[in-house]
Amino acid sequence: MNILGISAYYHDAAAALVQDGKIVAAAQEERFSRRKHDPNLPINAISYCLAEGGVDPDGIDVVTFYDKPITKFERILQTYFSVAPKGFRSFVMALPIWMKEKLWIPYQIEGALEDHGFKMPKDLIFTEHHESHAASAFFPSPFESAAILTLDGVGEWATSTLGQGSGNDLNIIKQIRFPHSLGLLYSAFTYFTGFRVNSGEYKLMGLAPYGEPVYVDAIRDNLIDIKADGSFLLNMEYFAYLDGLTMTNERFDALFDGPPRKPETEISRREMDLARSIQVVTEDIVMLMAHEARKQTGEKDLCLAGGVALNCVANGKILRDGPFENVWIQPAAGDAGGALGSALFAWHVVKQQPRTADNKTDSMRGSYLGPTFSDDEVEQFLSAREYPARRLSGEERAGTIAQLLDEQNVVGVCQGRMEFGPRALGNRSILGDPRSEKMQSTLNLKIKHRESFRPFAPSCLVERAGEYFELDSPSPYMLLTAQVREERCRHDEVPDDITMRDRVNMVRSDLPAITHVDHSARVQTVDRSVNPEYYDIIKEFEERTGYGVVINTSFNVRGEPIVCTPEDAYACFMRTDMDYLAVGSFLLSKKDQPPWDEKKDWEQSLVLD
Amino acid sequence: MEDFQQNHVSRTVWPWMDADGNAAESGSLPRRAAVQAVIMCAIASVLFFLLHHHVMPVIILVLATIVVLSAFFAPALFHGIDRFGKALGQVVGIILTWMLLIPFFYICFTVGRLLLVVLKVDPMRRKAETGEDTCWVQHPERPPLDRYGKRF
Repeated sequence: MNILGISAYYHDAAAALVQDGKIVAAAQEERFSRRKHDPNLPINAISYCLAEGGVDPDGIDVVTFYDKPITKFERILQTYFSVAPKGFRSFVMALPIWMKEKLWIPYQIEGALEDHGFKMPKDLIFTEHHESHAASAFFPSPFESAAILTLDGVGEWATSTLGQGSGNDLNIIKQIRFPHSLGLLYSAFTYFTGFRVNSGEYKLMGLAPYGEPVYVDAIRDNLIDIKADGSFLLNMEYFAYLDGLTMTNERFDALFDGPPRKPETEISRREMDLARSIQVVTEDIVMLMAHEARKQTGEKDLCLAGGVALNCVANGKILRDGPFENVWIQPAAGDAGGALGSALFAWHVVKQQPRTADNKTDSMRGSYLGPTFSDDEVEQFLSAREYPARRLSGEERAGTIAQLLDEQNVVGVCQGRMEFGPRALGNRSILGDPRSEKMQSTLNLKIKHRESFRPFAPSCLVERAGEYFELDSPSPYMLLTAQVREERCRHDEVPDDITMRDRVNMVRSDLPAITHVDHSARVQTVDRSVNPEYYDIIKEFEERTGYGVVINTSFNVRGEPIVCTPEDAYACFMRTDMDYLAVGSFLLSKKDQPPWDEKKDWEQSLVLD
Repeated sequence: MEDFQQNHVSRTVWPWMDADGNAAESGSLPRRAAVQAVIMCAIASVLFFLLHHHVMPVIILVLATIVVLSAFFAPALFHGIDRFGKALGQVVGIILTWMLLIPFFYICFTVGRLLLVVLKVDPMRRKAETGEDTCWVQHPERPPLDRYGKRF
């Protein structure tokens, strides 16, 4: 049975294909359309998934959609009833889109499928938004049974849910309802500190260690009433997202010493302190919720999904200090993962098909669920475009890349199947030497073209993780932070008048490029059985340098989706100061390439996040 | 190179070998122009036969002719007209949207809000019930499986 899952029309549209219960393909639309967080019906991702699964034109058995659009519309109308006569500007922007597209989703999907030569099946299933998240968290997890927490901005009405999965069944027990939302609270601070909502939340998280939690009391006393069981109530007098086009209002400004920071202006001490404060509050809430989930379900394992589950600092805290023995987080925890969750829900719950779990391995296949391109094809492409490249044999490839990294080069890698979810996990990644003191600012400013404060993540051989980080369990999806081991850290005094850039460049451990200012790192552990090509590069690097760790950052520049095809990878390689590009078995040196000439100013076409 | 064929998946997501892409697009221009011309002729007919206008239908028919001819002989002109038509459509759409939605919003939602205020009902549940020590609410029981076919 072929089940096509779709998420769309909010942000991060995606498609997933489940064949007889097996996850065959999944991808976000942005990777194909080249528009970051593309919300449109993911026709390119759908086409890819169906092609990858070898689905015949009349071979789709079920289509699933990740939320209940009419229930969501009802919530939006009720919101206007509760705020009118305010809210007109928001209404006039939202209603035409609903009338034109969102209320006609079955017909939109049918039209798109027929345009691409596929027959719409009779079976069209709509799962609740948080059911989709919960299913994406539990069904692919290694656990036979587990507690489930889903946390995000908002679905239909729910903003957080607590549930339990067992075998092929899943039940949501309790929920917190809109407008009280942990995701929207975090997004409010994202907006207030000058970052883009639904995109810049991870920057706020990265900024937090630079600040002090001086606003925690102000947040707790004025913005949110947190109960002992992790539930909460927001004080809507400080927020504008019910009736306006912004997240916060003047009262919020007054509480936090002035108006929101304008995007792209200098980040001040206030923004750092706000970032730290909301991070502390978020962690507290998530931890209380985890305890409540344990109490309600009695389970020893926890599954997480929803946009807030991408907060790897909070995830790391749950794992270290929380009540659960094991925590598994859906790698596409945001709305993209809803496509997969709804398809799995249809298979296991609606179609009542059994599920097996061995309590060891998940069924996400490393989250490498996107397209791959053969060496033959890469060779043809490079040859047709007359891009000079050297073909490396299987034996020399990993060693050559490791040598280039050791020689302080920055290498873009495009190999194997593309990752599903927001993280690059070694197949669409830019790699560097984590021992280098200059690598963080080089990568941020010359290659990624992004803010200098943002840390880089390490990829580490799974069996070596404990030698570098305070980490007891694998972190294959880069969704956990852990402290760099104390014996590797340096604790030099930080001068009061130091600039942010100087602080970033301070050496904090023997792996300075991946050690954040609080001596934490967002770790990816790499297992050879999951990704042998990537593992071998790190292993060769270890044999040369003694360090089984490399820098891994996503293969894109700021505002651009992660690259998908060798052509995308080549363009990104040529637009930046990257030194080498490894595409499949081919190695390209920047020095050998013909001059790169683009008719359009590519930076103008990107929307900065 | 001549023997090489992209596999189905690759061709789906990365059709770099498809040199006929532009030709396919240019082939679709007359079709698009024909559709537009038919619509314009229909509008002109309504104006002429039903509303008894004489000048405007002629202008529309001339425009329809230009659209069709440009699609065949001057694609750049066709694209320019197309862009202008879309921009015009967008502006008209925005004006109509505001004209229709302003009274709808203020009549429907403001009256609704007043009713809710009188009845002391807040659909957003902004305030906690007195004495509540939790804000979790029970999730509704799972509906019968055939409900999953519904959008609500």
